[in-house]
Amino acid sequence: MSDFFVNILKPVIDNIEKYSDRNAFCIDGVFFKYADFGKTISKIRQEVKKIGKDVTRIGVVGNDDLETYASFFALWLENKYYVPLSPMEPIDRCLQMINQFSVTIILDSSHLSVYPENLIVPTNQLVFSKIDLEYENRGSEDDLVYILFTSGSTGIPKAVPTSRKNLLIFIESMVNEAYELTFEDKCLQCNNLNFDGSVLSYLYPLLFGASIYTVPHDQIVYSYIYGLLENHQLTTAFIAPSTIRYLRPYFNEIYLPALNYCALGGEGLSLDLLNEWAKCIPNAIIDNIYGPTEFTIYCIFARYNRSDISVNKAYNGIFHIGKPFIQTKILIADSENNEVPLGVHGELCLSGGQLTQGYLNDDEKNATSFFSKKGIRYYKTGDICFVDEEGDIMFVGRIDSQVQIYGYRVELGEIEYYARKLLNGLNVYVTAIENCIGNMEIVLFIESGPIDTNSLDTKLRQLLQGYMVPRQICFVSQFPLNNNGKIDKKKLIASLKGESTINEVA
Amino acid sequence: MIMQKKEIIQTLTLIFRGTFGQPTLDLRDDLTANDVENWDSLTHMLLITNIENQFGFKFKLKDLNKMKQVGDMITLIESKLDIHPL
Repeated sequence: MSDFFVNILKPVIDNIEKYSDRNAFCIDGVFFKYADFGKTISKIRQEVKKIGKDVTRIGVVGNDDLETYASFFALWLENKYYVPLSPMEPIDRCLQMINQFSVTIILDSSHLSVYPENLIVPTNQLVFSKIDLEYENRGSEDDLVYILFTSGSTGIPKAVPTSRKNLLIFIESMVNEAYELTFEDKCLQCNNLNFDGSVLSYLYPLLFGASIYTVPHDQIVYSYIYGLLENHQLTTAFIAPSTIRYLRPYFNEIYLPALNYCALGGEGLSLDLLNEWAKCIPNAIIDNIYGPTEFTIYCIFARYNRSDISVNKAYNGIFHIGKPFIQTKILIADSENNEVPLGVHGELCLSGGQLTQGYLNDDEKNATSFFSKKGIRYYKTGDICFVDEEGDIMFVGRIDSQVQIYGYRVELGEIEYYARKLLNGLNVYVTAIENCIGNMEIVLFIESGPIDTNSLDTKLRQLLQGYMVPRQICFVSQFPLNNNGKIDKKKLIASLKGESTINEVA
Repeated sequence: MIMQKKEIIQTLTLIFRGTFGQPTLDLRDDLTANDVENWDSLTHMLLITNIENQFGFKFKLKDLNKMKQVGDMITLIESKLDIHPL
């Protein structure tokens, strides 16, 4: 029998007993054993049991502590699911999300919670009384395990539900086709809990009895990650390429022979960067992994060839994404959703057991992002790709106004929406450009003479995630227009690079 | 000539103010990334580059993790300048 309880919860619960004396987590330098993890899950579960059976959607503040990770399992054992609320995200945005999606209870391990007292269960104050890890398979495989939010152009994030079945099929595919761990593995977890890469980084190791090393939120991420990898001789890591790019100036100091497996994903991976990084991790299998949140963590991957680097294919310098998992079906489609011939560019569409049921409360977006063909339901990724003669998928670029910033998918329209609102309707245009180290960053163009933007910056920080707040603001008295009367984006961007003189840069 | 600690702090203050766009920011030994708005991985990298360019040395990657607060940064800069006096 293959189901979420048997294949995901049971192995973790069994490991809590089997490896009780081994480390499950290293959080901010403090080690917690599997036994500690079991106790923490149990004490939180006691409180979760007091929540009515009909209340299944529960917020969890995504702190970097044992209570937060234990909360996910306490909820799953009680047939509930989590909505992560990032402590780094503006509280107004989080409150908007919990109202929008009817979250009425929040498990919060913060010392000083920013949420209304009547909503929270303070998980850091609970006292352990007894082990309570028995599980009983109730509900259905379509029941949810978590909801994550992705950027939306209406100012309201899109809520992506992931089911037990979605997660189970991902785990099965990862085990069978990508990489298995052992209880001796030491695994990096550097992903924010509202990004589904975090599920790969915390859940996967627990299935094998391995140890997880997390990155505290108040640390400078790239240097801390390096410290963990080297000092603790970590063996596996899932990292975004932009983090690796931060480390690039120091590659000549980095030598990590203990790293056995490194997955890179969340954004386009430059082959040049990959070739250099591979030398720093001489013994690691390296996978470039691809997948949207709507298709549960990842579903396509390409393995880097170390023995003959000339066979590593790239398009426009971006390493290919390889082939899908066996249970994933891809379609490269034209604008009418018809399959294009081999080698022709089209939108990558995905079908299979990892596919989400659809955005919550968003019929309009569901109608445009999903379609059925010959009885098969597909998700339109918004990524332009093509398949080469060997069946490998080459990534070309984004079809729409979404970009990847530090591994997060950002809808530029969402930033424009708020900027326009805060500037009393001034015309704005938001784009992302490569900065000095090759990472993408947000630039805001305002159609106006120079104005004071300090309060705009402050207010945007209250409304948007930090990585979405524009790093540069440019004033342009009149936006250049192209022949169709639309904003000439190329000219605007060229002006930023000093190739034209139409704007004044703030 | 070896740079005095006071001068290091003065120079560093200007670098901080410029990097984080806060013209009135003052440095304390116990100041950390949590205390300064916009101090994240990207601005940290810019800060490091600005310090390296201004003082004329390169930090090692291992140095970066030693700098938990501004006081650590000042001590580290002092030690680097002792080895390579201006």
